[in-house]
Amino acid sequence: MTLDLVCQVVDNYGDIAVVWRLAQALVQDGPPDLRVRLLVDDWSSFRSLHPALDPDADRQELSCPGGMVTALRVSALERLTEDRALVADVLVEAFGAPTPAVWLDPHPPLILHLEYLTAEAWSEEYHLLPSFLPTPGVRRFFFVPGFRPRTGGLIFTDPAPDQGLAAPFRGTEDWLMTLFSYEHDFTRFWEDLADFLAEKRQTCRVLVFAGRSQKGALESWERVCRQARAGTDRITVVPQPFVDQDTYTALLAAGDFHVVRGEESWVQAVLSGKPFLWQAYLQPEGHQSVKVDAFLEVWRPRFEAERVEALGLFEAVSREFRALNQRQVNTDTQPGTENYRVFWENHELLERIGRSWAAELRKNAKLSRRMLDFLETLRL
Amino acid sequence: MITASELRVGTVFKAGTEVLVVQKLEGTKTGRNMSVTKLRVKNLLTGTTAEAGYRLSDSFEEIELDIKKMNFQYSNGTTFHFMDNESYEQSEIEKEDLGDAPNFIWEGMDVEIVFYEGKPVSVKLPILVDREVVYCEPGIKGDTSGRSMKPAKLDTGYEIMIPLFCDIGEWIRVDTRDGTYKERVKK
Repeated sequence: MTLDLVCQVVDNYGDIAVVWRLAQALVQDGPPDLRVRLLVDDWSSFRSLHPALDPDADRQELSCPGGMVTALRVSALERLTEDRALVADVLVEAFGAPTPAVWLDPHPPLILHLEYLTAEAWSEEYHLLPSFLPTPGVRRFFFVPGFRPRTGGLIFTDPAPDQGLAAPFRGTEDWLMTLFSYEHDFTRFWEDLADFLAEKRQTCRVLVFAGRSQKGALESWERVCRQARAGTDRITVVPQPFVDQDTYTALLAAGDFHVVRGEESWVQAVLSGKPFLWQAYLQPEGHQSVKVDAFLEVWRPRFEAERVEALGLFEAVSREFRALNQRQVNTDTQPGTENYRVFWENHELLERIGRSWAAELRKNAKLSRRMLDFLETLRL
Repeated sequence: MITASELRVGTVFKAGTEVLVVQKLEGTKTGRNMSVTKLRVKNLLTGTTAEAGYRLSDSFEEIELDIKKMNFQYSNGTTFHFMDNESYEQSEIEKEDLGDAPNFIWEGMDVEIVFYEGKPVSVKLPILVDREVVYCEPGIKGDTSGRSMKPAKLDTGYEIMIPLFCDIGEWIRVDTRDGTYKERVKK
């Protein structure tokens, strides 16, 4: 079976990160004869996540655990006649990415419309819905990732990357944290952290990842340093260039608290079992709040299963998730209102809840397996 | 061509070799960069019904159809009877083929009936209809914000959420595309 994944990079790295992760997971879980091809329009974004990608190549065989993925540059498809001659059995249009016309002649017989991840209830309603299309003989189904049982599940690879990958970044501090979000003023983060560390007489290393949040995070750090606040000397700030996916995932597992964003880093944070705060992708009219509330709704039972005081903690954590996400624009000039200490003061309980959920999701909610099972029901 | 965003209850469109009529719009959901919609459709060639999902940007070939203005006469609960205003010819449509339309039509109302190969298959509704509120909890004077809603029943039997300030005997304008309250109207 040949399966093509189409990825259109809309902005930054989220799209390609998710699709590259899915490609690897499919190779890992698929039968030996499964051939996965990845059609990417933005080669340079892909290369940021996967430095082995040759910047001058139009196609490249990329090795991953369990096999190979063929990466194809969309702008070169016209020239890749041998690849075009092999018509895929399944075409996965990630997030509704349009497939280049040159790739649709002849048309693959089956399309999966891979939606964005959402915890909203509609993820179950839409998952596996068919579309009756104008092209005769072509079937399409919705495939909707989600946390709920009757969805497509979550995109991840097994096993989690070796935590040794995080060792060079670890340092000798008591805590390790990472920041990777959209534009945000992190003044509250730094102030809370300084106060917390001063009280506990502990130290922390904070990796501030390159990308949209780095400027706001570093500028707010400088402002907090100018306050001469106790505890700032206990913080080691490391502006961190981009790292490959496995290293980032290993850092999530090795660290103690993370600010994450979008989809890929959010899923990996959930699966790390570590306390985290998620900044959802900004949507018109603040619609991201709906998505955050939906996530909190599916997360809540994990707290309910714990001891009574966990529910109070859930309410406190929910407040911080909502505080980070109640925004109409992405900005790093308006101070946030989050209270980060709730994550650190309840670290042990949050990690226990997180680890238990992560283990369950890893066991039961792997999207690549669900996708392959679905294709099996279609006798592909 | 017609896009999925333009599909309405009663729209007939071609998908491959199949001819489908929209029976029910089940709402639109927004992902990160695109919206998707869920419909219930009936295959006019096989008679089967199915739920379907579409991107709002999906496009289809429209089908040339006969549309006649007819008068809704009565319903026996399972079948809806219509009469041609000019020839007085009678046509019937099963309730299940009308989708949400029974919520918004009343006896004596002129509607457009869609015919496919001589057979009536659906009703094309106006986007807005005015109906009377026949039941709701008493109105609350002074609350004109329209943000707080309460359940109500219309004279067609349709149950809808209306603002607190509306009362029994008043008329409201309803959007037939999603069945929601639009505004209070004077009759």
